[in-house]
Amino acid sequence: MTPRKPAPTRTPRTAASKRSAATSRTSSRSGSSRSASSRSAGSRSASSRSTASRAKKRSSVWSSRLEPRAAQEARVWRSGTARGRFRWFAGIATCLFALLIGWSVFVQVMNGGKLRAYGVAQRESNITIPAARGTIFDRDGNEMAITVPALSLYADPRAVLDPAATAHVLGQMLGFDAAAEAELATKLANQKQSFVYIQRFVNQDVADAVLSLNLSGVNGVSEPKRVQVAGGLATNIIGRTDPFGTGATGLELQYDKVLAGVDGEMVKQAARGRSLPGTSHILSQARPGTDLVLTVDRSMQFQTEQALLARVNELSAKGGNAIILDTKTGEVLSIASVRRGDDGVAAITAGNLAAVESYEPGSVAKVFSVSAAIDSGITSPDRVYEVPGSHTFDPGTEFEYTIKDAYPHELEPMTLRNILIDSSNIGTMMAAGELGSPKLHDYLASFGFGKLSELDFPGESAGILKAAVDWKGSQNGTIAYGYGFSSTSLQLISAVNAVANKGVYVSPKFVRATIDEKGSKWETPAGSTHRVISEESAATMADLLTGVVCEGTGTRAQVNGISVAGKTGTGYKIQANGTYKSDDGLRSYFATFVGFFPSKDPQVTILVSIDEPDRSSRDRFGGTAAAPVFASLTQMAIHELAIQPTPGDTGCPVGG
Amino acid sequence: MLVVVFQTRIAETQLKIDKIESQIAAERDRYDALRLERSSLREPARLVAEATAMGMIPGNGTDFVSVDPLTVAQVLVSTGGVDPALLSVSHDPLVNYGAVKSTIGDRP
Repeated sequence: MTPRKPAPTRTPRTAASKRSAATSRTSSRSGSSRSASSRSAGSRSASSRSTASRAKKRSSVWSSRLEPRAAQEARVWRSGTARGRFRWFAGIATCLFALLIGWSVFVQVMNGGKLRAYGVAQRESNITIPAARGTIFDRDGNEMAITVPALSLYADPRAVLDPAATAHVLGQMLGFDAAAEAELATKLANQKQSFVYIQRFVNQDVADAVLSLNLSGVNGVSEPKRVQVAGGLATNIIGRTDPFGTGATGLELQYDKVLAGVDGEMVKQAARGRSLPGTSHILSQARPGTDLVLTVDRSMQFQTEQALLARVNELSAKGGNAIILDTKTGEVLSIASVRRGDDGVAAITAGNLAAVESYEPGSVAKVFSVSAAIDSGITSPDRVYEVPGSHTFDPGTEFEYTIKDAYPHELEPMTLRNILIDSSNIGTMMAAGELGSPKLHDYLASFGFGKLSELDFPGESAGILKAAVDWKGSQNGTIAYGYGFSSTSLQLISAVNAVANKGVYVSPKFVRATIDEKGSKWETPAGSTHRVISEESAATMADLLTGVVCEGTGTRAQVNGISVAGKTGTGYKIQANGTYKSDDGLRSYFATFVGFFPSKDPQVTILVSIDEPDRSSRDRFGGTAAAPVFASLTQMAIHELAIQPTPGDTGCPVGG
Repeated sequence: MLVVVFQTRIAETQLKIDKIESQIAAERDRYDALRLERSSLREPARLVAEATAMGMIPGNGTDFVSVDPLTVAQVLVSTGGVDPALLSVSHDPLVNYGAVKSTIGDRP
């Protein structure tokens, strides 16, 4: 409270001064002018118009005479209170104004962005425009994996009237078992959730039937679904996506970023959940994923899978691999793996075991050691070797190890040609032995062993090829015929393909082209190449390998009317005890045949391997288990690719 | 008044655009569904089943038959020449697919 100032100028009041003061107070309270007080005085004294007029004049005169003094007195008398009130008012107003300014700064500057965004969020909704995932085609443009819209059923538990009954009805229609139905009932009873999937990607007819019931809280939504066409052909390389459409395995994983594209974004203004026409605009347009055109031929893939599966079943084998390559480009025309499951049923695998699993190649490796020996100039096909029936490493030591040829024989003169045709382990070891381990290692590395291919396929194995200095004892001899290093089936066929391709290694390929968002097709770069052996050496090897098929261990790979070159391999599998014989003295086999045709101008290279064929069967070797499948796949490839024999080629001589 | 008319026209046009875009999306979905159906019909397993049902069996063996060049020449003469334009017609389904993709892209 502001203390009132004393009123030293206060004087005794006369009647006039009292009237004037009263008039002044009245005027002050009412906020009107002095003329108003004059009118008030006049109205009180007037009895007639003239009287009123006179009184008005008198009053006006009185007022004019008295006002300066009365007003001065009034001002003096109330000056302390008015100033105080004014100061109070001014102070409060200032504070309010400051508060207003401060709040404005807080809202507009300090918190402006957040509040603006909040405001925008209230009236606008951002909608993701999903990019269409790229299609995967085979080499002829047939869809292998495609994304199509599919209906999913969902529920809003808050709108479900009777969760148990609803779950029962849905369970009956969707074929749920009791556990699934109970789980659905639990989900529908959860009032905190506003969205739960009932079942994703439901058959259209079933979905229509469910939705026709108009169950409260049950709805359907269209979602993109990845579909593998053709019953899942080539799933081993295509791979799979997860339920949300993201690549999980195979090429779907390897090329996920390319296939996925880029989602777009659209803004729509909405009022109470309803979009307002004319208010939507696209922030960023979705960019569709790139399509992949595989090197695989769908028809050849199907026939390869079926032929391999049939052979695995015939031989009660554990599994097998089959690959067909375009010799000149390294393009994989088909690739299949079969594996017998725990239930005893053999089936096409979803995993690319041909690129993932490695094993000792066995006698197929003779192709590389003999090629190396010929290419380095230390031997020739007609050179004769005195080949014993067996050979013992480190005799008299704890590392003593004896090897034998597949068939018993005494010391026998054999040409290099016969060594390969008859698949002599010891003869091959003798030929490659002159080469020396370091050089043999370098050749094997050049053939692609011990390192990953350019495929960069998820989970691909590099196999094992140790440095030559790490080859111990018998390995210096056995590696020449396929024991002591390991390779995948894909590495093995690529290496043989180098011989077929006139001595030039070409990296295998799964993807032939891509189709960008504008629909333009782009060929992928050719697989990298490098020369492994000379063209002359390759031609010599092709001739020797033709002999293997016509008169050696691979006769069951012959095809009427066209020359075929190839090599058998029967590898012993390492057992759980770390040796090549199980505790009961039995062996397990890995039977392989790799070849190419036509021998003079190879166009196609094929590998077939059978994992653990029935060990009691005569058809447990590369030449008996795998070669017949090779022959049937060769005929299939001839039909599919319209391959003609080279002029003068009539295949193996009759009786050969 | 002009502003009201202008705003109404904008809203009207936007409604048309929305309708056309939803038609495009529906047609694109239909196009994908037809591609899937076409591909399923060409599925090798289905073709084998159909062929087997018709009594067909896989080819057994391969034979290459050499044709006398004179016979080839006589056939060419009797059937007339082949219009090179016909030979250059592309039936690559990827060409058609690329054209469609470039047109519809990924419109919402």
